[in-house]
Amino acid sequence: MAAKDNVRESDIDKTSFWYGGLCNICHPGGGFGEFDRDGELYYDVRTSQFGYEKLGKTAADVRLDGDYAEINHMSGALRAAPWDITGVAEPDCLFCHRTERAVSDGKNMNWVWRTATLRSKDKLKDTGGASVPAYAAAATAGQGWFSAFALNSKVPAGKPPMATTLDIDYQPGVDNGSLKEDGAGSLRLDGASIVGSPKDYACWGCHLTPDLKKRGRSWFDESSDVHYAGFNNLNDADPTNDIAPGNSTACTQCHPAGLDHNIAKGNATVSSVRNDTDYAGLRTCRDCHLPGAEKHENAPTPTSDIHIDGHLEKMSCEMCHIPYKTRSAVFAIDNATTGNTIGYPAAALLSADPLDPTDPDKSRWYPSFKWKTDKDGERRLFPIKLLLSVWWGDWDDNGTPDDGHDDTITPIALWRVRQITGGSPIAGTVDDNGDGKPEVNRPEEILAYITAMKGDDSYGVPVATRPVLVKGGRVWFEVPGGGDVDSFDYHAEGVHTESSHPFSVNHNVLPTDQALGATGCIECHYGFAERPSPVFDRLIPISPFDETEDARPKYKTVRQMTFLSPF
Amino acid sequence: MRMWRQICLCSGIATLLAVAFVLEGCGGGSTTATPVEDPPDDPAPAFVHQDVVLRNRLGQPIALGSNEPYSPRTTCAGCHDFHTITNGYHFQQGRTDASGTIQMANDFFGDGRPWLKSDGMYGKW
Repeated sequence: MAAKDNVRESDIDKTSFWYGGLCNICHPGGGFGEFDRDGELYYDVRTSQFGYEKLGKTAADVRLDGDYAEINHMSGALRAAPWDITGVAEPDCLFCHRTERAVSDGKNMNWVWRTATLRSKDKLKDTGGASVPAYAAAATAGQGWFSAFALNSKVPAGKPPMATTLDIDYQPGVDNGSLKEDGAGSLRLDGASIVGSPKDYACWGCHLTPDLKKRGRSWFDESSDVHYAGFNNLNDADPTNDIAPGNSTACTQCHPAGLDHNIAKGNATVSSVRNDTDYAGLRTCRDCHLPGAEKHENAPTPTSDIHIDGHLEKMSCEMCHIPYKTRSAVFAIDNATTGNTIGYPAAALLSADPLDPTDPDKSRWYPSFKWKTDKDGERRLFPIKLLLSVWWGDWDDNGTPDDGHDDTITPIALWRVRQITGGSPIAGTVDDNGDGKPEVNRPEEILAYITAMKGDDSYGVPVATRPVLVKGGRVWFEVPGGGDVDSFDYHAEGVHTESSHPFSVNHNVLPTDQALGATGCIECHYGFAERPSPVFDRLIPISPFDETEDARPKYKTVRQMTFLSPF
Repeated sequence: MRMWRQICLCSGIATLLAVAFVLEGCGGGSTTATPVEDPPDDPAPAFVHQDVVLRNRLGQPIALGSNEPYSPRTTCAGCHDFHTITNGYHFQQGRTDASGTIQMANDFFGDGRPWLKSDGMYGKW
């Protein structure tokens, strides 16, 4: 993200205005959608003032301000962020607290309408051609209170929708009963349209995409989620008590919230926002299933003798009860070859055979494991899905070439990478593995990119002084004197950087008879059978492509990654 | 035993709503929620919210036929503590800390990564 204060255009990456139009599609407004880093409204419609003006600054003063500038991420052009046109995105209460949700063809239309409106930024018009304040209007559009709404048909499939036209009109709300006129001619939101505890559809709208990409999560599927089935009475013989997806509140059973709206969460393995609230109020597996004050009356207590002390002490419940996933996820992103993000799905790197990623059966994939602190303070193994990243950085050894601990590898903003690549692989880059995705992998290709990355961006600033490719746990650099590349293991050298990101896998608990160990110890402890264990010897991708002319993925076993080696 | 209540709550979130309902002038409408009688065999409390006047960004009531966006802040904040609510991490994503203080800074973690400006999504690379 762009800093608040910058000295040149080339230092600016994504600004607050960019966040307002994109990140807000899955955040409920308020906060960074409304106020700048000085605490001022970006634009106050009551006084027709920008926030910086209230502090005595001028537009010239904030030309490079990360709150009031915007870099075009394709052209690199700088402009003043038009908060006066878009307005600000206020806290969107009804985004979560609306009783009725509009779902069509499997899409959460409240999310679609709101997202498309935000994404249009300052380009949104009504049918008469007048500008519509997109950020301010997103909450209204998200409720379906409009008579005309058109999407930009040029947005590629898989990208968030973008609106071109919005005619705000409250008549549809009156027609569906969410709004009603009072005697004074004003509109009132019908109290019955406000729900206290949000329904799952509210969470699903935003968490669908990231949870699918990062974790392969399924929603509203009783066959792959015992909790969704249980909380909605879908696993009994009585169909008359079934709760429909639209009324399900399974999410808040474990993730309740208080007045502070800090929705109960666990201990994320990626990101660290508000660690002070980790596990606060969260109902964990152990809370509900083990005897104790928080035991859920309907949650079965473990009875199998596989729950020996050693297992319970060192293993999370999820480790065995989320043994695999059936929906694909993104396992690697290559931001280096073109400067655009190229994704690698599960099928490209894994299979339903945990020991053979090339198996043609792609119906499921298996997680890796990572130690993390559980709610009771114990360190346990939890299932995770590693997301691998390939990216360009600018390496500064800070004058101590023999000591990696103080080195900095600064990520290069993708708009600047694209200024070098033009958004395509640079000449000579070959799709070695024939998967339809060219990859910068062979030493000569890496060297060609490094040379190119030393070139200038559109502001005459070198994109990098010492470009390096970060991939597969290694840093690829040009050897002193030039003409060749070499690499080092950044962990071994103490360099603080990363190319794998562990996303916790903590939903879609399967029925007991599908858990690891349901058919015996041998499911994990293959030492009995003198062959590889599908758990501890399963292959986990650590790089989407290696440096050879085959560009094959690289793997490690769970044994190698966790240093656990049970029989 | 038959019980009377002004509001029954489905979650902790709703507690705020319940408190707000008894504030005079709340939402520009009636000042109290209609008492709801518990059916004897109803174990789950019902959530009830009163009707709310829809307001624009200037705080003015919106009439049918208007093409102005409604403002959640002016519509809802008359009753609800927006300062507390919007300091939740879903809203701030690292912009503020637990006390609501803006915490954004280059190299937020102080470990030589100046591109990380908070501990949340707002501020990450």
